[in-house]
Amino acid sequence: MSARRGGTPGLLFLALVSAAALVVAVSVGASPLGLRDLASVFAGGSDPASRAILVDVRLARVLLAATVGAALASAGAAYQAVLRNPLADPFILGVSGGAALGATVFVALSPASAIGSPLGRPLAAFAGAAATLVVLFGLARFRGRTATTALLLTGVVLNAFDSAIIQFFVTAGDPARFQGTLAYLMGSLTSPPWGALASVAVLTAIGIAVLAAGAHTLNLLSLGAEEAGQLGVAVERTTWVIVLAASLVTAAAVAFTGIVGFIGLIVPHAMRAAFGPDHRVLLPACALAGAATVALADAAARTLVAPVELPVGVITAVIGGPFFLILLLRRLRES
Amino acid sequence: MSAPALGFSGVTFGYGRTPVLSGLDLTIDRGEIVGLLGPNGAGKTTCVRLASGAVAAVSGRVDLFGDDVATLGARERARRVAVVPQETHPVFEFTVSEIVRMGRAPHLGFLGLEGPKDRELAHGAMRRCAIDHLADRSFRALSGGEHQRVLLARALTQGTPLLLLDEPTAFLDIKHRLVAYDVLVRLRDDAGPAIVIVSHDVNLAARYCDRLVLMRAGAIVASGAPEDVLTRAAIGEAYDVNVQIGADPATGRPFVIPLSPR
Repeated sequence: MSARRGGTPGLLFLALVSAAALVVAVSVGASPLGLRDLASVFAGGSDPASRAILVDVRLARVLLAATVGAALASAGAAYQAVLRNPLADPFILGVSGGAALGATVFVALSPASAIGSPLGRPLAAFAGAAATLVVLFGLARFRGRTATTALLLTGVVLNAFDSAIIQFFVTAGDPARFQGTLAYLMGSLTSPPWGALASVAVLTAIGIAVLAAGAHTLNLLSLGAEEAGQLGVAVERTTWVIVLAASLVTAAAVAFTGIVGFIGLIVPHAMRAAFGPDHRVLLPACALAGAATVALADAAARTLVAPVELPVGVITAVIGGPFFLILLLRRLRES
Repeated sequence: MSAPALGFSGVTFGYGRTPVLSGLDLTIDRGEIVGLLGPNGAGKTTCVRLASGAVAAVSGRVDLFGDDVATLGARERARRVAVVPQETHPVFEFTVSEIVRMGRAPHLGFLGLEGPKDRELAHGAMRRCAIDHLADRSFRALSGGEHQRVLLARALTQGTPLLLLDEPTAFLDIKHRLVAYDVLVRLRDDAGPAIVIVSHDVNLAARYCDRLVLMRAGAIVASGAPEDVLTRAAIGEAYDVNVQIGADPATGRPFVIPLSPR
């Protein structure tokens, strides 16, 4: 059986579909403003109130959702290749949890003057994610194929540990500081200040650019360290560069949103089924599809039980949980 | 200028506390086809791993075309030596053509994009190994023998002046064993790489190789032309078996008939 391969035309088509998904996501929400109002904003003929809602509230939020989705899906694809394990995902591995812990510690302990800085939370989240990686790779040690059970158990334990500390800070910390971060453990999107959005977008772009430049190397690393080395990859150094880049984008995604699970699992699997495993095509496909997926999931979270908003993490977990179990079952049956 | 393709001098290596090689000396000349023989655990695969930089010698020196392998970067190493491993287990559904094109990796630029020349080389290698009809099939869906032909094609695609093959014919049927050796001999005659074949098929190695190296317990028992290496005494000592030596009716080279374990 040969896998379907789309290549460049497929990516262009996916880009169009994703752009359409973002437009749809901007056009739905609590206030009755739709596609027509969106069109008149871009034509310059709308009143300031609906303009504010559509641009500062909805567009900013959809752009954050898209960035978070692109980041998590790309990071998932990268972890899966490097760990040679299709069940790896920033949430399941505990990297998202580590990032959330880093951001929480920053919110709790940073000087009041630094708390609002757009780079503070993402960089603290990156420190948390990097610390998680050291634990994870200390156990896995790059060598051979990481046993699925060891990896999953480590992720479970790290997640439990990180959640406990996060709960401690949120409960015992200054309530004023933690306003709006209550749903951190079940990631939720808000309309971000433009500064925060810009910092998340820039960090994500840097990380994805590094991953994209290493896309071909990811193909080789997915064959295993020894073979990758014999095909010319400086394995140890490259692996660190890739996992750090994946963790940077994870941290950027988590910093203002919290933990949105399973995107890094669902999207890469769907994209591999559509485009095949070549990361030179797979990574851009994951970024595009991840952006659309989280934007649509958040649109659903905003409208399903309106006027109440669900955390977007509820939607992704409800879909992602069963998806993960199916993959795990299939894998256990294979071995 | 004409340093040998591969040189081991005084190489010692072990996994943990188990010594595998102790003070091994071995030279492979350019353009030579050498069969590396010996019982399980003799250290043959370890030689392949040391020569390709997958593991580093504890002491002694491994040279690739005159340069210490430890000082070469991974990319430069992969431009000098290609390895055909016994097996590979991709976790994703790569096609045969994608696996073969990975052989171009050490020659690609920053973004790792292949050009028409890279694709042509990969296609040529698939034709040589008679797997071009499998190009779009999923690698994981193929048989062990087909895997070995794909890995051979990938090594040819790498275009190195030294090829190391670790039991490349273990899963092949009789016909494809002959095809694989023919491919290697023709490749050497065309492009002239040195080729080292780790094999348990003593008789095919005797037929096709210029030189045989017989190992046991991390040391070389005999090395030289097939006539000189495949003697009753040397085979007996290396493998702990009683054999009779006949002649290959096709080539007149020695032909080993195993009789009984010792």
